[in-house]
This record gives sequence, structure tokens and C-alpha cells, in this order.
Amino acid sequence: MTARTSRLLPIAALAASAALLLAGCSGAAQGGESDETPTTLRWAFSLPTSWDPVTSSTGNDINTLSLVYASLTQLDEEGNAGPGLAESWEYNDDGTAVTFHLRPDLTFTDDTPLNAEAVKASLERGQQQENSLLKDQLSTIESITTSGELDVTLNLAAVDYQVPNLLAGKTGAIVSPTAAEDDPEALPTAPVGAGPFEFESFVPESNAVLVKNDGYWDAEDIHIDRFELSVAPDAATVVAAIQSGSIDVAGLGATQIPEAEAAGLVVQQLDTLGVSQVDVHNGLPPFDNPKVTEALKYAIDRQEIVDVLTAGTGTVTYQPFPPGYIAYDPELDDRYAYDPDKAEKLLAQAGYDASNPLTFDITAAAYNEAQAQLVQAQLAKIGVNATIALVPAGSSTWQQTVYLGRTAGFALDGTVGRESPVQNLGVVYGLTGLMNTSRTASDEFLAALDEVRATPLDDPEYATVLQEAVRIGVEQSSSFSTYTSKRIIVHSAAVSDLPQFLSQVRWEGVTVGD
Amino acid sequence: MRIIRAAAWLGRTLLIVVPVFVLATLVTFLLGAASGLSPAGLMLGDAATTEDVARVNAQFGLDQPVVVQYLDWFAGLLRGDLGTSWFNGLPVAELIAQRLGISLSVAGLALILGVTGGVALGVLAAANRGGWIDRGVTALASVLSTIPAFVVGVGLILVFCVLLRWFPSSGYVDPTVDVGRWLSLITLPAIALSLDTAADLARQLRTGLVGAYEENYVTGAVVRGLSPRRILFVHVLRNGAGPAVAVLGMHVPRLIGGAVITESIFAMPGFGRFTAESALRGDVPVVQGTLVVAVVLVLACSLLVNGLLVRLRPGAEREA
Repeated sequence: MTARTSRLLPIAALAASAALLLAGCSGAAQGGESDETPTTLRWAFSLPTSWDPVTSSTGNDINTLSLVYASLTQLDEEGNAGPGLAESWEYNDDGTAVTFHLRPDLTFTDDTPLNAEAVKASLERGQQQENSLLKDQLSTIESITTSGELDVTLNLAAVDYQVPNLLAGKTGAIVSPTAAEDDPEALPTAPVGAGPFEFESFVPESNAVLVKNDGYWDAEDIHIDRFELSVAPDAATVVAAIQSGSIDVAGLGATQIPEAEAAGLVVQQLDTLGVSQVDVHNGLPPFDNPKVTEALKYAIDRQEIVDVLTAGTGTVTYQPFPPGYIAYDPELDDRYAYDPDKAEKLLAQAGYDASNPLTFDITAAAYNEAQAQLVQAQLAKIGVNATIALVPAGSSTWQQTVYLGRTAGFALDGTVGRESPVQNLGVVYGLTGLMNTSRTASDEFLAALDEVRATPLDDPEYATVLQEAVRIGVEQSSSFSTYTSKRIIVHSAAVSDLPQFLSQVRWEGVTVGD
Repeated sequence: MRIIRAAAWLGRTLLIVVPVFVLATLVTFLLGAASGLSPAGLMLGDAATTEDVARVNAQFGLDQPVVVQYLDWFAGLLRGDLGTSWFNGLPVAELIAQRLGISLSVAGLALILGVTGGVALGVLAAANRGGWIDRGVTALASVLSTIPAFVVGVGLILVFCVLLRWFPSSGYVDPTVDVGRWLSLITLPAIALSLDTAADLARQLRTGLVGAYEENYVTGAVVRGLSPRRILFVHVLRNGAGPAVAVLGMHVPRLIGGAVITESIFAMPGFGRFTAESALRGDVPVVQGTLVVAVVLVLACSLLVNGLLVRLRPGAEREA
């Protein structure tokens, strides 16, 4: 009997602890807490490549960096520059200097005053720090002077009315000079800014915890006390994760919209500045023949790509901007409308036909394999023999092959957009633009860009001048745009809708109910 | 005498372990060097220029000859310095330590569940050998072994997170922050991981026990009038557990380091998922570091298993 009891005891203990575990778990899962709990929002997105805007290596980081940093200006819903840390600004008479007037009494979360000297120090670090990736964007500023506590004057290298746009995102994110001086190496993992939230903790590539910054200049519009940022879960489990309460907001694939809505979740389709395009290198054969590059622009059935890959949520575009944005030229609405016959005729003029088919590689990142297959099939319809060359996900090969090595003649790419349309045009069509694999640009285009820079943003002719530069770029470049993408967000019914901002995700006005 | 025996055993072990370790690190390093990957892509993203690329390569010592790079890296290894991540510039050792802790939590619970379930099933089958319970357990073990990890994971989420809402479906929290939530987050992944171990263990233990039952000393014990329970738990289990212990030894490193799919499904920032993601990103120092840690884990587990086997069956050592 004793032996039996001694055998039963461990089993009983195991059963008891299992029961306790389950009890504890249900409690934890329901989050049973007392009243007066802080509002928490859990967003599954991605972690930034660096919490220091100066060493962040992708434009997409603005979505997470803007949680802890405020920028000098801020883009409104349409993507036009408005007040941020600066409540106003004005240019001098010839457009070569702009003075920003900061809001009074602002501080960083480490209590350093956010004054003119702090802004100057922050921008200069972006220009001077050895590993800064903002040097190029900030090169338009020659020197910075301050006047009093609140006035910062940027003296420009040349006329450039784009500066308010430029300083709206990552480029204008102001970092605490105290933190930058004390330990600049710590900033990539421990940021100090003056944004909507204050950084609390961070596990690299896993999650970050932020708490509301009551000193943020727009704090009254932030209704979230605690913000938990994590990496996006597997696509197959996004809907389940929101239903189970592990996360509140996440990105969603277009094909999962019906599943999410059937589960009672809210799906939002937000417009973005993201545009997909094909980088064509006109220095490499067979793309050195203008008839070939012209033919390719008509050979792609963009609507089919939109229907199949984005479940119809995207829109066809022939320019690197979405419809409705100020740089979008409505006259280019049908510029390269799908015309396989015309494409075939142009190829014939270039000497390609059934007996001598055009042959080349379609270079695509692994996540773009489906698009590559669609494009390959569409090209086959006009007699083009295209082979798919996939670049592994996330590796540096894309950079080596397409952007720097420039050995890819036809690459499926895309831009997430830039705060300044001139910046975007520079990246896509400019002489040193990363996505302009040809690295050529006509004098006419460069002059048009200069003219945009020389036109004030509130000038009645600004839109016309800007759209003219876009038209020249679109028609003269061998690269071509294909379609816009929406940012598809799914959230539980307890979370209010996110505001629609073109350039990034913002949280002003978002509330979390029960 | 025992001390001499222990020293001899240690010497023999080191003679095997050290060369294996050095060879493994050499292969690991050469794989990275031969990959042709560079940190520039990761650190510079869509803002790169050729000068930046050269600067970054020099910063990481990639302009040195391969032999020098290997010796530098190996010297660092011995100091516990596994290099710096190309992706976020943080020390690899720190990144791995954070994730290893997570994987150890889940693997630990999975091991407890797997061993409990596997031993219970294996003993049950062996005690009823030849009967329908035995056949049922074998069938169950086969089924459990063949269900893919992602099916189990998604199934558990659907039932326990979405339908019953007993558990959250993703994420991880440190036990020092919130023990209740920590337990609730590691339970489902641990269950998902434990099934394969339990199934394997059950089958191996059953076979080992059945084999042991056929030994002469068992007949002798029966004749001496010992109870079946005593025969099973005191004699047969000890002698028949060998193959099961060996199999368990192979499962442990897999539980800690190989749970990539389960960690992805449950969005846990664990060691396996970290290795896979870093490999896809081309973050060579991290992959090299994780491989070294994996080698050490496997070697440690092998040594532990060998030691256990010797204790279980001292006769085996003499036979060998």
C-alpha cells in the first residue's frame, strides 16, 4: 500500500500543477485585470533596421521610427507638407534659405530641450556621421544657423523649395543631441526622440514596447497608453492571432480579405505611395535598342497583374505615383495601355520575330516569383522567350546584381515612395538613382527636376511643373511603372479605424475599446 | 581506481570531441566565406553607394585573407565572442543568448511532456505486449510521428486559441515579467513539439523493454516471486531504456534548435527561427554563430547520453 501511495503522489502533484497551469492560462488569455488598465495596442508589423534614423537602411522604417521620433514637418493625408515640430516656415526671396519656427517648450523624452540648437545638431549628425545613410538627402543643405531658441535657418546649396517635404519623414526625424553625444552607438537599439511614444524595451527582431509620451506636441490626439510592436506572424496565422487577442492590428494579404471579414474582423485598404515597376537597363543588350524598350512598355498587361496578385485592390499606373497624388499626371492615364499587337510590331521593327525571338532574363526577388511568372506568360504571347532568374529573399544579392553591379537587364522592382516627389523621381529616373539601372538621364529631365525644385510648393504652377517632370521621366526612361499597391490592414472590431495617410501609418485618433 | 577510470574516459572523450569541434567550426566558417555574401547589402539597404560598400567590407575585415579571418574568428570563439551581426550590428552571442532562452523554455516543457507521454505509452505498451493496447499505442505513435509540425501547430491554434480562447496564439514574454502569460504562451508550442518526441520515445522504449523482458534474469525474477510491477520498474526499465535514452539524446538538440516551423507559426523569436531567418537574410556571422552553438549542443547531448547509458548499463561498457 505504501509503495502504491508513493507512486500515486507524483502523479497527483502533476495533475494538480496541470490544473493550476490551465487556470492561470485562462486568466492570462482573458487578460483579467482590474479597472484603470492602460490602453494597449499590439501591432504586428516589423522592427526597424535601426532605431537611429541616420543608420536606418530602408524607407519603410518610417512607419516604426515615427513612433518614437517626431519630424520637423509632417505630411498630411494627401502627402503635402504640414506643421510638425516646426509650426511654420518661410523661404528667403531667392529660395536658397528656409527658416523653420519651432513650437515652444518642447523636450525630448530624456528632458533635453528641443530647441533650435538641438535641431541643428540632429541634422548635422545626419550629414557628418561616418556611417550616415542620410548624407545624400541632406546634401541640399549647405549650412545651418540658429536664431534664438526657436528659429533654425537652413542655408541651401541651390534653390530648393522641396525641403519641407524632405524633412517630413526619416530625414527630418529629430534625435536627442544628448543621447547622440553620450553614446551614438546605442541609438540603433535605444532611441531617444520626441515622438508620440517613448521607448521602453526592445528585443531585436522580436518586439518593442513603447509608452505614451505626454510631452509629444500632438499628445492630445494619441489615445494609446502602451504600444507593443512585434514582427508580423506567419500569413496563415494572422487572422487567428487577431481573433485570439495576441495582436490587435496587422498587415493582411489581399487574398485573405474574405477570410478576415468572415471572422468578424475589420479590413481597411489604405492608399500608399508604393508603385511597382520594371527596372530596364538600356546599357545592356537587347535593351540598348529603343524599339525593344518601347515595345516592352506596351507588352505588359498590368490589369491582369492587379487582378491576380492584388485581388483587384491595386490600380494600373504608368508613372511612379498613385492617382490623386499631386505629382500624378492625368494625361498619362492611358499612356502605355496594354497593346500586344503594337508591341509585336515594334519588336519586328527591331528585328525580332518567330524565327529570331527576343530572349532575356526576368530578374525578380523570391517574394515576387508569382509576378515573374505572370510577366513571363504575357511576354510569351508576343513571342518573347523570357527566363526567370530568382534572387533569394533578403540577401545582399539583389543589391549586388541589380542596384550596384547592374548586371540585370529587366528586373521586377518597386518604390515605397519618398516624402518629396522630386526625391522619388531622382531615385527612379535620376542620374544616380538606385532604381535607374541605366544610370542615364537626359538634360531635359534634369532641367525639369531643377525647375520643380525652384518652384515654391504653394505656387499655383507647382503641380503643372511637377507633372511635366514626371511626364518627361516616364516617356524617356526605359524603365516603366506597372501598378500601385494598397496597404491592407486588418484589426479587431475593438480598435477604431486607422487614419488614411499616403506616406506612412499613423496613430493619431486611434482608440482601443473592449 | 575510479578516478583513473574517469580520467581515462575524459581523455578519450576529449580526443574525439575537440577535433570534431575544430573541424565543424572550420566547415562552418568556410561555408560563410564561400557564400560570397557581404554585409553591405544588409547594412546599407536601398541607400548604398560603391564607396559605402567598400567602407563596410573593410569595417568587417572582409578585405583580409580567408585564413586570417578564420583565425581571428576562432580566437573570438574561444573567448565567447561570436562576432557581430551584419543586419543590426549587435553582438551575435547576445542575440543568440536571448533566443536560446526562449527555445530552452519551450524545449524544456516539450521535453517534460514528451518524456512523460512517451514513457507512459512505452511502458503501457510493453506491459501489455502483444495485446490490443500495445497495438493501439504503436498505431498512435506512428500517426503522431507523421503529422507535419505546421498542421499540429495550426490545429492547436484553431482549437485552443480561436474556438476555446484558452490561450493566446503568438508571441513570447519573459518569465520574470509575467509568469502566467509566459506559461500560457509556451504551452501550445511545447505540446506541438512534444508529440514527435513522445511517439519516438514510446516506440523505442516499448521495443527495448520487450527485448529486456526476454532476458534470462527476468525469468529468474519471476521464479523468485517478484511482482510484475517490481520486475518492470526496477529491473526491466533500467536495462531496456538504453535505445530510448539514445533516441532522446538526439531529440534534445532538435527540440532546442530545430523548431523553426513551430516557432514561426506561434511567432516566437526562438533560436531555430532566428537561424533560418538569418540564413535567408545572408547574415553570415549569425549563421556561423548559431551553427557553432548547435555543434556544442549536439556534442554536449551526446556526451550526456553516453554518460547516462554507462550508468544505466555498466555492463555495456565492459561489453564494448
